[in-house]
Amino acid sequence: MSSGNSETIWNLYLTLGLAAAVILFALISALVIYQRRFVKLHRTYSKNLLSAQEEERAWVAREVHDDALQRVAMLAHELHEVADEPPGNVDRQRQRIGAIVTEVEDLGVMLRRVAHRLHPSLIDQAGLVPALEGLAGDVSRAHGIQVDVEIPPSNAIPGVPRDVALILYRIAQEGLRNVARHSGVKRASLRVVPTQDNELSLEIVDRGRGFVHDDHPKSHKGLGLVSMAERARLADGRLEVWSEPGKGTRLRAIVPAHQGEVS
Amino acid sequence: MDTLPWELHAATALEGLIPLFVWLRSRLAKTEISRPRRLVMAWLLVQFTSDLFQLYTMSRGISNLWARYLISPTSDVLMLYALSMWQTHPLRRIGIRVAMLVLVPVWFGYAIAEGVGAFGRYSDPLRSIVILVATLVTLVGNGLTTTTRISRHDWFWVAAGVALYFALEAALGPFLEFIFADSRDIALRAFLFKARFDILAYLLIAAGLLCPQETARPSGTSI
Ligand SMILES: Nc1ncnc2c1ncn2[C@@H]1O[C@H](COP(=O)(O)OP(=O)(O)OP(=O)(O)O)[C@@H](O)[C@H]1O
Ligand SMILES: [Mg+2]
Repeated sequence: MSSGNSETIWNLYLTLGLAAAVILFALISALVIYQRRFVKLHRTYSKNLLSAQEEERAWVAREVHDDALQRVAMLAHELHEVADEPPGNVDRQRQRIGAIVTEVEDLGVMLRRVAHRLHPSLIDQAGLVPALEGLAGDVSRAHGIQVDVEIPPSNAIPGVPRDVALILYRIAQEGLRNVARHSGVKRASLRVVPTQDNELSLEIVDRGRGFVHDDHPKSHKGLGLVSMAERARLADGRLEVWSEPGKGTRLRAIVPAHQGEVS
Repeated sequence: MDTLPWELHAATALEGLIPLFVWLRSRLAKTEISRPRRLVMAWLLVQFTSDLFQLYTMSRGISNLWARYLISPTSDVLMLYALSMWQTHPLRRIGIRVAMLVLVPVWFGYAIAEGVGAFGRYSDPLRSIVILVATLVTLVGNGLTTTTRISRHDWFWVAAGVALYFALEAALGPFLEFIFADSRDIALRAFLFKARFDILAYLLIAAGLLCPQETARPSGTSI
């Protein structure tokens, strides 16, 4: 009987040991596999980021070189002609100067567009809420999408530092761009809600075609979602994505808010 | 086999009725059943089939010991894969899938070394412990990161039920075999005790399978 007992106990130990071994092996393999994917994801991310920055620069260069400089050259040419023209025909001169003024104004609009793309100054001047409202308006005009904005008045939401506001603005920008490009519907909603834990949540919802989302790097061809998550993380926050084919997409960026700072 | 206590019949009936009911309800409500839920339903059906098969072979006096080699790996793969699909973090998802892939061959080796006549005395607790840990990982890991009430999630109920089921399985299995020789009476009582908690476990699982589904699945971008 005692030898039977000790055998039983030995077998129990063996069972526990085997179970622990299986669990430990799973844990370590998971860590190794996950870490490798993480590294790979970040390598593609920084590569994509680099090329995206290059593209952005190329865009600015193109705008400035092909468009702005052309216009400046033309303006210079026209101004020369006005200057060389014999005096007398005042009406004609006035007409030409009027045309030049319009062109200068156009140029101003174009340059403002370039500058705005580089940095949305509205955030500095007016704060996050008007900047988001402006963004919604821009998107409506540019893509014909109706954006239902639902933002409590500035004094009802906790303030966030300026860099966090910029991060939220960029996330909204990319989120709405994705709606315009991928959702297939002409309507979206943009909501800013304070949470109970003194956080600020920015939500972009569409009822469009949706997509299958997982965190496998292979499926991350685009840069938008990754960079939104990265941006949220920069602000000590997080990004949540709900989507299902045919059921639309809901994007939520949550960042901590700090009491008493400008919004 | 009408000498068997009602608890055993009730547990077996639930294994068959829960998937049937969940399926019928989804038909009527015209909703789709999510993939992890379907796997848990399949798991219940495998339990059901296995119980019916055992009752049948026992009543005929046929040996049914070999069936474990088929049923155990199938049901473990179903349950672990379902749990892995519910994980909100990829690390836990990968971990449970690796555990699933490792458990099956290790369990096979152990069960064969143990011999068919051992009734899975030690190899069954092995799988029970691994699945128990997977359910605890689900409850703690998902529970800590969810931003909505935990009782609204199907994985909460299912993992709680499965944890209860396998905790008793792991604890009572070897114990039963150990004392069976000494006291038939205690063994029978322990057996009934487990059957009652199995009923509770199945009801918890049913609560998970029937709780309203989120229209869209949260996915692990909470970096
Ligand atoms: N609102 C949406 N509706 C439908 N599909 C979407 C939506 N947002 C994103 N997607 C899908 O997710 C994919 C990844 O989006 P992401 O923003 O990361 O990349 P992208 O928009 O394709 O490229 P990029 O933003 O880098 O220019 C998209 O290709 C698209 O298939
Ligand atoms: Mg995009």
